[in-house]
Amino acid sequence: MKLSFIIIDDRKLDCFIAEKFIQKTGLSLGNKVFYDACSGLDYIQNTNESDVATVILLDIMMPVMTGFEFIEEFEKLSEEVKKNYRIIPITTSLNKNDISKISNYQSVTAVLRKPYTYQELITAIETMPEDLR
Amino acid sequence: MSEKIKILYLDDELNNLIGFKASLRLDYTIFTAQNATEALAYLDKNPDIRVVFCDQRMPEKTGVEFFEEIRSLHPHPIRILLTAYTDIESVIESINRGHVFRYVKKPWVDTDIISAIEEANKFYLTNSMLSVKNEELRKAYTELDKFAYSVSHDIRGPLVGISGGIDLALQTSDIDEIKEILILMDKSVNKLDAFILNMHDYYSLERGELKITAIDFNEVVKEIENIFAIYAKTAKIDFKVEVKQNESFWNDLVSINLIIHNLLTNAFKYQKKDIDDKKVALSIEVFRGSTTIVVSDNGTGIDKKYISEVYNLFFRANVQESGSGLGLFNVKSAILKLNGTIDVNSTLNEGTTFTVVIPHK
Repeated sequence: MKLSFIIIDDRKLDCFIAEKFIQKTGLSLGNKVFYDACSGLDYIQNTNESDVATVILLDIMMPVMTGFEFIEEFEKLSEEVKKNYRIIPITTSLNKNDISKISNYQSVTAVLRKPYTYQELITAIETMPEDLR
Repeated sequence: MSEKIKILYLDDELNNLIGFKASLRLDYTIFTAQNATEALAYLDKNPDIRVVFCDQRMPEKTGVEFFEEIRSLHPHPIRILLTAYTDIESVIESINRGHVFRYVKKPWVDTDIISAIEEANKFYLTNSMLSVKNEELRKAYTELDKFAYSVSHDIRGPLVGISGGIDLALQTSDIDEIKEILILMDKSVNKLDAFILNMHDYYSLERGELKITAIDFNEVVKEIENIFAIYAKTAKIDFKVEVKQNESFWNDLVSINLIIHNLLTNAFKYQKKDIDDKKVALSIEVFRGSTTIVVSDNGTGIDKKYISEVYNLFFRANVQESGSGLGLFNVKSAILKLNGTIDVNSTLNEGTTFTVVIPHK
């Protein structure tokens, strides 16, 4: 299973950690980093590499466009685009309502809580539905 | 009390009105009306009327009906009914339903009226104090909610990042990579520290007292230039400062410093990355007892749709990671405390100008 990754987080340190973890998995075909959700969404709407299975690591609490808003917008995209992506939201929130609310979106396969370990990331990727490939 | 309590009296009998006014006008400001329309006009024009007296038996409508009508439009004045014994049933009912604070029997003696006014006034003051306190409490709770929510992002966020960084650094033996992690961790630590300093400002503004001293803006600016000069140099930003002060100005130095410091921090922070002639200007003018502070930049500007929200607690209109969402909120709080005003003029990608006017204390 080879995957492409998109990291969306407004904190450079958190992006850096995510990148290192992703490299360590050996599963990555490459990754893109966006420091805000709008640019991430733009990229997804305009990219042509639509046949590569892609995992989006998405921070929830970001200014201007939050992770929630990103997922709302993402869900509006065509099935053709959506089928190649799986979203793993990453949150610092300790609020159970927040977490169950995100888990309910169709494109969300697992939720990680910051700080997450390498093993937790691996588990989240491995338990993703088969049809992503 | 410096100002007389305002009282409205509605009665269809002119003689009653004249008698009432004659005996009470020295101690109170009295408005009299012969019909409901006239009475309502007085209430509309004088929202600070504290007590309304009304006769029960009037040709158009009863006193109780009048009170029911004004209760929703003018909830604050205390309602007192004047009535003879025969109407006692309807009076008891209306008191029980909360339309009337108390009643005074007709014919009245002045002492009854005066004691009714004094009681009503006490009740009025307690009520209005209560509503002020309630409003303050409501505001405090809203801010507490926002605070609790933001703690997870603004305080816990950098911390979990740092903890993740430590974890990663422990697993790697490449010294360059460890250094890279350390630099990023250092930024997170600074951000957390800045947030806590902002919180401290927030707290001292909310709870602190003003300390009024004579302010020499040339001195104020000297310190500010020291702080920002290094930053302006490294970021290659042209920083211009201008002070015009030919008269003394008394105010709270801490608040003024906070206002200037926060506005400048924003002006320096939200610069466009790709231009050469980055500019920040600060001008302070003291004229006829009020001070005008203008901070302008040719930076990123603020999107129109966010401009009304920039002073809100924990609001951030920019995707850059360095904002706490407290800076402009603190500026606004400080300005309100000094009875000043703030205006913002901003165009996306062209720059922002904040204009603050602070009156003499």
